[in-house]
Amino acid sequence: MKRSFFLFTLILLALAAILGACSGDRGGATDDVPSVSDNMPPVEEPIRGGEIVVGIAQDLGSSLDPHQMVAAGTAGLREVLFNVFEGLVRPTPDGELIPAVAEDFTVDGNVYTFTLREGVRFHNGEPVTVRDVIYSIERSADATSVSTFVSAFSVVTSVEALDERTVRIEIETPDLEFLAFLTIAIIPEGHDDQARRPIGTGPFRFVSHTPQESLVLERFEDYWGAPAYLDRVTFRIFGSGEAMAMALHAGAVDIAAHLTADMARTLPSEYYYLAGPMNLVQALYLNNAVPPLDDVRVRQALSYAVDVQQIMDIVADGMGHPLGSGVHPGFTRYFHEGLVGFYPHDPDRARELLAEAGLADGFDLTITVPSNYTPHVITAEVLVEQLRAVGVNASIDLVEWAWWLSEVNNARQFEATVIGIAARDLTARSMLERWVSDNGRNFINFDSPAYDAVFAAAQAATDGAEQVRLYREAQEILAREAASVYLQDLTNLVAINAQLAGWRFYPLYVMDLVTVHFVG
Amino acid sequence: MQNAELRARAMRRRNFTLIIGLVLTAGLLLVVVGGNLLWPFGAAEIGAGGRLDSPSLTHLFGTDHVGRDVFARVLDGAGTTLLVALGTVLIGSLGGLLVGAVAGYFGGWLDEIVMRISDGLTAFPSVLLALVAMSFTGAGMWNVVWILGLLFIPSFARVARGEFARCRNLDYVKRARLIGASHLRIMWVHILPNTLPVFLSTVAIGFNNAVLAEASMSFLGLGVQQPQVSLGRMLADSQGYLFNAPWVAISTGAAVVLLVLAFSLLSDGLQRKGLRRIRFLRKT
Amino acid sequence: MRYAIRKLVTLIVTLFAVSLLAFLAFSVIPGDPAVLQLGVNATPEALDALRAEMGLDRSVFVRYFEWLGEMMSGEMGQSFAHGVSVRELVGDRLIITGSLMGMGFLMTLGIALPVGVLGAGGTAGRCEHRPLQGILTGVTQVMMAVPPLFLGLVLTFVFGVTLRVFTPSAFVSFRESIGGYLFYMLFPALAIALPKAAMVVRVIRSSVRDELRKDYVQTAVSRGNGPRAVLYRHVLPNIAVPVLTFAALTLIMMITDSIVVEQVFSIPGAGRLLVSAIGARDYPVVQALVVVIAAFVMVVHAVTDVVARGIDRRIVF
Repeated sequence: MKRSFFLFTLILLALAAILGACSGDRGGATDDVPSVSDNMPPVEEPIRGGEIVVGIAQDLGSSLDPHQMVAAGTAGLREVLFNVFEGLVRPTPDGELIPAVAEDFTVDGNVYTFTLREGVRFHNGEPVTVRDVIYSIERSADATSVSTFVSAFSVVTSVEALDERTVRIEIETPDLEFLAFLTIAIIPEGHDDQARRPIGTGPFRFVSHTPQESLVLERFEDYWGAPAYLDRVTFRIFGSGEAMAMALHAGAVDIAAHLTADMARTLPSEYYYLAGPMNLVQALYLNNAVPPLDDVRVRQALSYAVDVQQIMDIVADGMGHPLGSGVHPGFTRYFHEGLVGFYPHDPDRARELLAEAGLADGFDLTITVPSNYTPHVITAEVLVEQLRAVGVNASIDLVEWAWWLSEVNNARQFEATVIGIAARDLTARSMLERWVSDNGRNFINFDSPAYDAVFAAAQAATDGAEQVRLYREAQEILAREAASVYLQDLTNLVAINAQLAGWRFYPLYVMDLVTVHFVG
Repeated sequence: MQNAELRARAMRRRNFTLIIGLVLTAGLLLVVVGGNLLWPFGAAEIGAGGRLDSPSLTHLFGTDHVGRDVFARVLDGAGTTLLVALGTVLIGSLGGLLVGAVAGYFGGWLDEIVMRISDGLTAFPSVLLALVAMSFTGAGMWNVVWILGLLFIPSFARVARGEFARCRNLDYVKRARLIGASHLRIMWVHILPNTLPVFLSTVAIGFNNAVLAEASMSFLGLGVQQPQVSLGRMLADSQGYLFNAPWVAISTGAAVVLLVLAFSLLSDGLQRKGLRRIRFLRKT
Repeated sequence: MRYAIRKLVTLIVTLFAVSLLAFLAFSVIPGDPAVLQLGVNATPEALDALRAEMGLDRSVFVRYFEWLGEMMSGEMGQSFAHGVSVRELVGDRLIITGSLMGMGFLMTLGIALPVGVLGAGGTAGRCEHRPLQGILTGVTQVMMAVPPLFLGLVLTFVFGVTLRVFTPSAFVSFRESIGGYLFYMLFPALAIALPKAAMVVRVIRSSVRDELRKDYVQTAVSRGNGPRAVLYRHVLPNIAVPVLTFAALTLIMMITDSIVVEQVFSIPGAGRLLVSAIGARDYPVVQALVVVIAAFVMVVHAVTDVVARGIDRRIVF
C-alpha cells in the first residue's frame, strides 16, 4: 500500500509537469488582439473541384421544406439551404435583390410581372415552368398548408401565367417590401417530399441528410449561373460549439462559423479567419407576460444592469455591434443608430428602478439558453454575474435546441432567454412584425397598442421615406418599453482552411458556398 | 501458504488503505472548505484574470474562457459535487437501511418483494436511469440529488438486508428476543452497530459512485445547472479549449480523479476492517 | 438446456412488463405535445388534428398495443422532434454504440485477463515480485478512479492534440471506411476499457487470494503439486465463474460510459441520440431506446446466468 501512495504522488507530479509544460506555450496571447487573423485568404487562381467539410453546431430539425423551415425559427437550416434554393429574385452580399429564376421583372404599383430565365432546371432535371412558379407562390400563401409565409403572401390577390415564360402577380395594395418576399424558394410542382428530399434550383444539389450527423450537398452541373467550384460539401453537425472547435483545431473541418474569439484566435496556421456581422439581434428576450417582467420598470432595470461592452470583450475581443432595439445594422435603411446605448450601463439606476417596482430585494430569474451556440451560452454566463450586481438572482437553464423551440418559442413557458433573432429577408417587416401583440411568433408576449398601430401604419405606407420613419418609430417603442434587453449583433468569426478562398459575408444569416474555392 | 499468512498478519497490524483513504479524504475536504474560504478569487468572478491565462502563481490552475480563476472554480465545483454526493448518499443510505433492515430482519414475502424490485433496479446502471428521469423533471442540482438518492436505495438496501439477515440468527440476538426485547430495540441496539463496518464501506462506495454520476450527468448537460459550478460542466466547456488551454480540462479532471480515489480507498479500507472483524467474530 | 429455455421464457415475460412500465411512465408526463409543436396561438381544431395524428386521442392501452406492434416491427414509433420514425432516426447508431461497447469489452478482457492472471501468478508463486505487486495494486486503484469522460479527454489530448495519431472529432463512418472507423473507435473504446480492466484485474486478484485460503488448495499443495500447477489447474477454473459474471456486469456498466464517451469523441451513436432526446423531451425516442437498452441488459444477465451454470456443471472436483 505504501507503494500505491508513492505511485499516486508520482502521478500528481506528472500532472503538475504537464500543466507546467502547457503553460510555456503561449504567454500573454491575450494582449495582441487582431481584428482579423494574421493569415489572409489566398489570392492564387481558383481551381474547380474538391470537397470540403463545414462544421455547424445546430441540429437541422425535422423538415428541410424551404417553405416550412422558418416556422421552427431554424436560421441554421436557412443558412445551409441558401445553397440549394433560389427565388424569383435573390439577395446579393450588398443587400440588393437581383433576378434569379426570373430573368427580368417589372413593378407597376401593385402588379409584378416576371419573365422566367431560359434554361433554368430543377435538381431533378426538369425545366422550371410558370406552373412551378405559380405552385410555389400559392403553396406559400395557402393558409391550410405547412407554409410560414402565409401572412406575407396573404396580400396576393392573383397569380397567373401570361404565357409560357411570364408570370403576373397582383397584390391588394402597393407594398414596398413585397419584392423581398419573392426570394422564397421556387420548387417543382408535384414533388411532395420537400421535407425529406428537397429539390430546388440552386447551385448545389441535396444528396443526403442524417439527423444530428450530417447534410451533404453536391454541385449542380446544370445550374443556370456561374457554377459552384466545389464538387461536394458536407455539413457536419456537432452537438456543441466546443466539440466543433475541437474538430476545427484538429483539422477535421474546413470551414466553421460562429466561433468565439478564443476559439478562432489560436487556430493553427492551416487556417485563417474572417470577421463579419452575424446579422442577428442578440438579446436577453424577456417574457413580458410573467411577473415581475410585466412591469416596464423591471425590464428597464435589467437593461440598465447589463454591460454590453463586457460581453463583447469576452465573446469576441470587443468586436460586435451594440444594439438598442430589434433591428440589426445589416438593415442599413431601417437601422436606428440613435437607439444604441439607450440604456447605458448604470447599476445604480437599475437598483432604483427595481426599488420603485417594489423589488428592492431583487428577484429570481431563470434564463433558458439553447446549449449548442457557445456565444449565447457565454453571454448568459456573463449576464448572470451582471444581474447579480443589482440584486437579481439569475440562473441558467441550458436546454436542447429542439426543446427551446417547443417550450420557449411555441409554448412560451419561460422567463428570459438569450438568443439571436435573424431575418429571413431584407425587409424591416421580417424583423419587426413578430412583436405585434397577436403575432404567432411573438414569443415574448410583447403587448403595446402603440407599437401595433405604428407597425400597421408602416406597412400601409406608400412612401418609402415615410415607411422608414415609421419603422424607426417602432424601434423606439421597443427600446422605450424595454421589450427585451437588447445586446448586440454578434461578430461572426469564420475559420477557413488556408487553401480555400471566396467566402462572402451577407447582410443576412446565410452561408453562400457557390464562390468558395480551392486555389492552385 | 506461509506467505499469505504472513501478509495477512502484516495487514492486520496496519490497514494502509484505510489510512491513505482517510488522509486523502480529510485532506481534500480541508482544501475544498479552506480553499473556498481563503482563496482570493471567487468562482464566478469574471475578469479575475485574462481569458485562458496559463497557470501561474496568481492563478494556480490558470483561467478559463471567461477569465475566471480555474482553481477557485475547481474548489467550488468540488464543493458542489461533495454536496450532491452527501445528499444522494444520505437519501440512499437512510432509505436503504430502513428498507433493508425490515426486509432482512423479518424475511418472508416482504423480503422477497423488496429484493425482487431492488434486483430489477440494480440491473440497470443508475446513471442511465437518472438521465432518463431527467426528461421528466428537467436538470438541476436538487433534482439530481433526490433522483440519484432514490436510485441508490436498492444497493444500500441489499447490503443492509444481508447484514440484518446474517445477524438475525446470531445467538445473542436470539437471546435478546427470548428475554422479550422489542423488534425495534433489537434492530436498533443489537444489530445496527454490528452492521456498521460493512455498511460504512458501502457508504464510502456510494460517495464514489455519486461523484462519478454527478460529473457524468453535468458533463452531458443533464445535471447541475449554471451558475452553480460543477466539475462535469467545466469538463464539457474545457473541450473547446483543449488545444489552446488544456490546463482547464486537466486540473478539473484531476480533481474528479482525486475525489473518486479518496472515496474508493476509504471504502476498501473500511471493507477490509469490517471483514477482519467478522472473521474475528467467527473464530471466537 | 431446460434451464436455458426457462430463462428465455422469463426473459420475454419480463421484457413485456418493462415495455408496459416504460410506456405508462411516458404517457402520464405533464405537458401537451401538440401545443409544444404548434405553439400557443394554434387553433383548437389544429391542436385536435395533430393530437389525432399523434394518436393521443385514443386510450392508453390501445396506444400501448399499437406501439408494441411498432416496436416489434422495428419502426419503434414516431419521433416528436424529427417527425420521422425512430427506426430511421436510429439508423446506424445502435451498430455504432454496439461496436463501441464490443470493442471496449474485448479490450477490457484483453488487458485484464493476462494482467490479472500474471498478477495472480505472482501471488501464488513463492517468489512474489512484491514491488511489482505493489505497483499493480496502485495502478489498478488509480485507473479505477479515472472516469471515462476524463480519460477520453486525456486520450484526445495525448494522442489527438500532442502526438497527432488521430484526428479528434473526425468520426469516420464504417460505411465510408471500415479501417478508418475501427481506428477512430480505438481511442473511445480504450477510454471505456481501461477503468473497467482495472476493476476486472482487481476482482481476479482478490478471487485468487480468497481461493488460495481454501482447504482444497492446501491439500493439493500437500500432495506435491507446484504452486503454478495448483493455480492453473485448480484455482483459475474455480474463479472463472465469478470473474465472468463480473465481466458481464462491466458490459452493462459500459452503457453509461459509451453515452459519455460518444459525447467526448463526437460519435453519432445511440448514446448521443438518447441524451439529445432526453434534453428535447422527445419521449417516443427515449421510450424506444429505454426498451432496447432494457432488452440488452436482460439478455446479458440471462446469458451470463446460463453460461455460468454451464461452466459450473462441467467443473467437478
